[in-house]
Amino acid sequence: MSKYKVEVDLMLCQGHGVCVEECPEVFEVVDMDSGYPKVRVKAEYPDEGLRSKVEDAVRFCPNQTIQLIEVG
Amino acid sequence: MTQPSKPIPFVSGAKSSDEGGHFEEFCAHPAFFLLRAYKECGELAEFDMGGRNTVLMVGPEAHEAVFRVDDDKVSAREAYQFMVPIFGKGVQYGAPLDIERQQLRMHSRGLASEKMNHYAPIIAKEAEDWIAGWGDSGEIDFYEGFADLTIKTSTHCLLGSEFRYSLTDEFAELYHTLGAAADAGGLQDPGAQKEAYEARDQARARLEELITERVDLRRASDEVHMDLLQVYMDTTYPDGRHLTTSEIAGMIVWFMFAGHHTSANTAAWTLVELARYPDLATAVVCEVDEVMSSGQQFDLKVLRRMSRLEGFIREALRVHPPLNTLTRRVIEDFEYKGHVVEKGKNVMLCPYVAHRLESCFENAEVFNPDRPAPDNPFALIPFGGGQRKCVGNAFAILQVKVIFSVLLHHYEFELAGPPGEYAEIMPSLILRPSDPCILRYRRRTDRQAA
Repeated sequence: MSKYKVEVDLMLCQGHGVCVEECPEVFEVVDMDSGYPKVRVKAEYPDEGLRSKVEDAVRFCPNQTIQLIEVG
Repeated sequence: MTQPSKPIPFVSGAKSSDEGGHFEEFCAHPAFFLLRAYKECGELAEFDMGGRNTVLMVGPEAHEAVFRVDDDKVSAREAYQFMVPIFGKGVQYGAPLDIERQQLRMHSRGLASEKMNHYAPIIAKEAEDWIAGWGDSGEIDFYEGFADLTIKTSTHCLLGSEFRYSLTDEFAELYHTLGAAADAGGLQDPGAQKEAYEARDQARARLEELITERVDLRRASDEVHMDLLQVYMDTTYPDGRHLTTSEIAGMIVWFMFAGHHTSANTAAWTLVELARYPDLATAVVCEVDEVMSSGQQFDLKVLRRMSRLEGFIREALRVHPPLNTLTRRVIEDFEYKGHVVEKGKNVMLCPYVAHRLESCFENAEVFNPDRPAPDNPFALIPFGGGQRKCVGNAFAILQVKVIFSVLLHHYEFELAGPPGEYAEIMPSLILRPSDPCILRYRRRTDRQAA
């Protein structure tokens, strides 16, 4: 069965939290020592059942921070 | 072994440096000048801003290079020091970098998704109050109309309803005075400049008084509000220190400067394009009606999924981006593809130019709200990019979506003048429609009144 991986580019993240609203199972926003709060991926290889929610998080991220990568 | 730096083409038509180089042509219309510079020179174009050489960098790769370089090597803060007296010392570029970063975190908290669920109905209420006085049909200058509406929505979301309904007029006037001083850098007459700066300092001081009164009242009453002011009051630096009232005033002015005219102009252009392309607008109106009848019109998840309306807004932002001179000061020689921009020069990115690249946007001159997002996310940069991207970007889109949900559900619009009348002008550093920007509106008869 195909798997997928979630990757984020932290340099682009400003902690808007849209991903958390769309898919709280996989994403949370945490405070950093300095600067913007940032997304933290709780499950790098999420369950297949969460795929459409992860896709929504990717699609609606205001900064296009998140990528869904197929890993075979 | 170092390769010699590749030369950067210099834009034609410069006067001598004593006479300002390209400064005059730049000021006449920055976006048009930068487009000319790109067409003549390509990806990199150097010009003389009255003694400060500046390199325009165009294209997604160049944008990404600028957005990803460290702030202490290619610096926004050095380029924007002229904003410090307006926002006040102690905030943004008037504060040390680590403090500024904490302040950005505070803005981010105030604009986070969960907060915006509270702002959407406020924005809708302001839009509803606006159209309540319209009657069945008429004509309005929507440049002015949206500027006025977004002052109200911003004040309301920022400072709460007590402030909004008692102090908006004075606030708008003070804010206007600050704005006039931001343009004063371009004034040739030093006397006029001095006057504008004096007015600015008085306005800044009065604004701080108003904010201080508000903060003191709130602290005394123990009431908790859902606006940005409350976020600024409650939030702390890592050492536990709260923002001072002077810093809070600065945060508010900063938020207003970043979001007010930019949002107003985006709304104005979106409406002009909807009126210009009624066939394309039909799908947007259908989407709006569906959402407005759903009872969930101010649910963020629903608003986010209004892809037709969003396509129109994003295309309006592509064709008519409000901010077109994103500037950085080069602190350490900055190398890009074998070219070196030497320290002391500025680099500049221009969304207006970037958004017209055929390599990124097929038929770039055509307004196409169904246009797919470009392959490279750094091609489309109406809000800038990287860590310095406008943190209000999602708020801005939300605000315009809510406003249009209300407007399009009740009224239809058409241009009142010939299409060429709605011209792109740039009397300050913000691109906007020429005014008056008159459109005709008529109450919709194709929909049963709710």
